[in-house]
This record gives sequence, structure tokens and C-alpha cells, in this order.
Amino acid sequence: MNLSAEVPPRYCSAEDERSRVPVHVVWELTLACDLKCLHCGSRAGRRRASELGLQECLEVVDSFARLGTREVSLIGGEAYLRRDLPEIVRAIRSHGIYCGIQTGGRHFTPELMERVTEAGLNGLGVSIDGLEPLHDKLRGVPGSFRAALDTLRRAKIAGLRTSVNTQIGSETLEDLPGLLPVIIDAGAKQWQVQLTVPMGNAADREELLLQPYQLLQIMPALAGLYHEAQNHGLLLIAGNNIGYFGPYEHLWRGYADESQHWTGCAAGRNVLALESDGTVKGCPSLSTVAFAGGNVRHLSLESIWQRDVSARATELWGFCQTCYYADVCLGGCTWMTHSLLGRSGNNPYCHHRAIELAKQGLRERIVKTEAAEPKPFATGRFDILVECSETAEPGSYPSTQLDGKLSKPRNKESPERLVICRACNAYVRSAETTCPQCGASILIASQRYAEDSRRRRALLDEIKGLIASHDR
Amino acid sequence: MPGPEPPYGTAIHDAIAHGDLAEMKRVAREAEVFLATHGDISAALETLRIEIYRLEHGRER
Repeated sequence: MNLSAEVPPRYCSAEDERSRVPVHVVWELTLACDLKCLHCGSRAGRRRASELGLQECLEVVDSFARLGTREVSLIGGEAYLRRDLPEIVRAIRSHGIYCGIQTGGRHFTPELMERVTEAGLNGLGVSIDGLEPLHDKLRGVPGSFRAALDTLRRAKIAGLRTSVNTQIGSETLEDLPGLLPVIIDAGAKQWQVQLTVPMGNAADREELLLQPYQLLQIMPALAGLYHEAQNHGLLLIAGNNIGYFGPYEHLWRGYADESQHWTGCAAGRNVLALESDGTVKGCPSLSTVAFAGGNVRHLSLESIWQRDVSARATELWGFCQTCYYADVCLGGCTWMTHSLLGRSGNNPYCHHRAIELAKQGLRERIVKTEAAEPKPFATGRFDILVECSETAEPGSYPSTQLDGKLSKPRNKESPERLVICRACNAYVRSAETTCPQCGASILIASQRYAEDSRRRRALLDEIKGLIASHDR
Repeated sequence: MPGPEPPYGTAIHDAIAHGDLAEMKRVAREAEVFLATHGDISAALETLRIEIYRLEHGRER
């Protein structure tokens, strides 16, 4: 498929979705790492016992090209701890595939920057998890914040497209407003945020995790940051474990393109992931034990991809089972739900769910019941407790929520396209006449929005005309 | 539904904001630059700022 130069390579077309093209590959090149992140899901540090050699990597790159991949993100560990990184970048670029690296940036030296840029690297994402004290604490290395920022600035100077990734845990929220100008000043154009997931090291330290009810604070704060960032040419991008279907959904999925909303976990559908020993999964973050689809040392990548490596929930349970959005959402991010509960299809980290529970005076809290094994991508077990919002006394779900009523079955290939309620910004089914979230008339709200839109359009035309007339 | 897919990895480079609000902010920035040198669109720009505020805050709970 030919996409115009203005469309990011990772954007999927209808044909990509129909043909299940692995448009985006996320590739862990090594598990070796020079940071000691308290929240690291893969427990990176030492390289795996049997990582792919350069020749094997080059064969994998050829498979990407044959499968139609358009973008490869190289991750780790730290991808730069492989000496052959520039050769791998060069091979990816030789097929015209966009290539980015995600890094903590501790030892991304000027020499390395020059070598990967010369090899054709397109973009560099740097992980920054807060202001200096919090970042250095979470990354386990004093000075890692300054090193990350320095790498980000040098990547910008080198002409790379630069972005920042931030994971949001229990201590992050208060740092985010202060981090925004730092990122703007460093010249990044995209800022991707995602929630810390209870996997690997993060499963060992439950104090690092947000509680689900804190989404009621986090989501409005992120929406505020989205608008503030936009004022400075920075786009805040929500990762797949942030959502779902609350009043800001139109910002998270389509960056205000309101036709876009969450439609279920994308792992293994248009996204493919590899671990550094050749294990293939549908998403780089998923548990190896539960989601490995094969290994490129035993089968070609094409053959593995033809098998089903998707991770979308096939069965919903708990609160999600009878949710209004059940058949469209499918319980949000499988990485989060499976890591938390050992099973996908029930997701307490959901803004809509937190709002609905709050209406009943309830909230959810997670507690660890089982530790994770000391292995990469290992998960423990957590329970969800329902409690009174005000007193934290034990509570129970509203009786209407768990009445055994099954939501309507989903059309797997083409989930229903929802429309936005112009009164509250919630997504609703197209047949609705009254918004089930705010009670407004869908028609009247749409008519008012259309009037507002016409007024805004006239104003924009007037100002553009004034500027243009002077320029003439 | 065709659209962006942001899994864990580098953020989607070149992704941009859409919608009326993004365009209004862009035009407001252009107008502010214009206003600094000319000054004959201040009333329209003030109205645009009000509309931006309404769109950014008015419909979100």
C-alpha cells in the first residue's frame, strides 16, 4: 500500500487491517541494559543466553520486507549495547522501512549517534519517567535523567525525529506538568505516555503502581497536558493501556480525529514483536510464556505470522462482561489485564469504568496475592477489591453490573463504529437517540455543535482573510 | 477502522493533531504574529481565543 509522505508509516489502512499486514514491528535486539529500572517488565540487565546473531537478524529483516512491514522500532534492554546495531539499522532502511530506536539514553554516545544516523536511522525515542529525582530513582542510576535529555537534544541536532516515552506510576502525576516544558525545550514533537504495568520488576514493587481509581485524577490531567502541549507543537500520545471511552477518548486514539476510537487490543493484528532470542509475539510487552507464537530459529517469520499471534480477549468477565462498550472494547489492553489477573477480558484500568463506579460511590483497588517469578516478562497475581469511595470500606458492584447479561457478540472483522455525543464527548452507538452517559439528546447536541462549528469556521475564514488580504 | 496503532515502542513520529481545535490554535498563532506587526484583527482574534477556550473546556467533564 502506498501512503502519502504526510501519513506516518505506522498508520493502518483498511486494506492493512483486512490483510493483516504487520505494519509495525517492535524488536527487542538484546536484553542487555545499562539501567536498573525498578519498573522494568522484562527485567532487562543481562543479555539472553542465546540472542540472534547478525546473520539471523538480517534474515529477519528480509522477512519484514516480504511481510509488508513499514516501520520497525528497535528496543531492549538497550539496543545500542549490540555492536552490530548500525548494520541492523542499515538493513532495515535498505528496504525503505522506517526505523526508530527506543532508548534510556545513558550511553548513547556522539560516535554512536553519528554511526546510526549515517546508517539511515529515522527516529529516536527517549524514555523519561519524571523530573530528575523521580527519573533517577525509577531508573536506578544517578545521572540517568541528564544523560537521557542530552541524548534527546543530540538526536534532534542530528536531524532525527525525536519523541519521549513516559510511564505513569504512583508518583508520576505531580511531575508531569514540570516535565512538559523540559520536553518542549528539548525539541521532541511527540510524547507517548502509558501506565506502569505490574510485570517483572514492577510486579515486585506494587507501591509503584497506580490504583485504578486514580484514573479519575490522571485522565483529566492528561487531557489538560494534551491541550497545553498542543499549544507548543507537542503531541501527547496515549499508549494502548490508557483509556477507554471516557470523555477524552477522541484525544487518545485519533488526536481529535473523532472517527477514531479504541476497537480492542491490536497485538498480533498489525503489530508484531520479537524477543532477542527470536521468540515472536503479538506485542513486545506480553508475557512470553502465555503469548509466544514461535521462534524464527525453528520456523520462518512468515509462517509464524500466518499462525494467530493476536492477544485480543475472546471472553469478557467481571465488570467488562456487561459494559456498554464490551463488544467494541474487548477489555482494553491485554498486556495490562493478563499481567494483573492472569487472564484478559476484565480491565480495572479503564476511565469509563472508574466513572461508572464513582457514580455509585464506589472505586476499585488492586492488591497483590502472588509474586512474580524472577524471569523476564513474568507476572504475579492481583485481586481487584471494590470499596466505598469515601470510607474505603468493602463494597460490591452495582447489582445491574453482574446480572449475567451478556453483551452482544462482536463482529470480529468490523467492530461497530461509534459516534461521539456532542454534549459530553462520550462515544455512543449510532442508533442512540439519548446519550446513555449524560442523558442529552444526541440530535439536539449535534445540531448545537453544527451551529458552533459553522460559527467557528466563519471566524477562521475571517481571520485568514484578514491576514491574506494584507499579504496581497 | 483504519487509523494509528501506538503499541509500546517509539511514539508515532509525524502524527499530528486533528480537528477544529488544532486548526483554531494554528490560526490563532498566525494571527498573533500578524497582530504584533499590524493590529487590525485584534477583535476577531479575541473572539477566536474565546472560542478556543469554550471548545477546550466547555464540553469535557
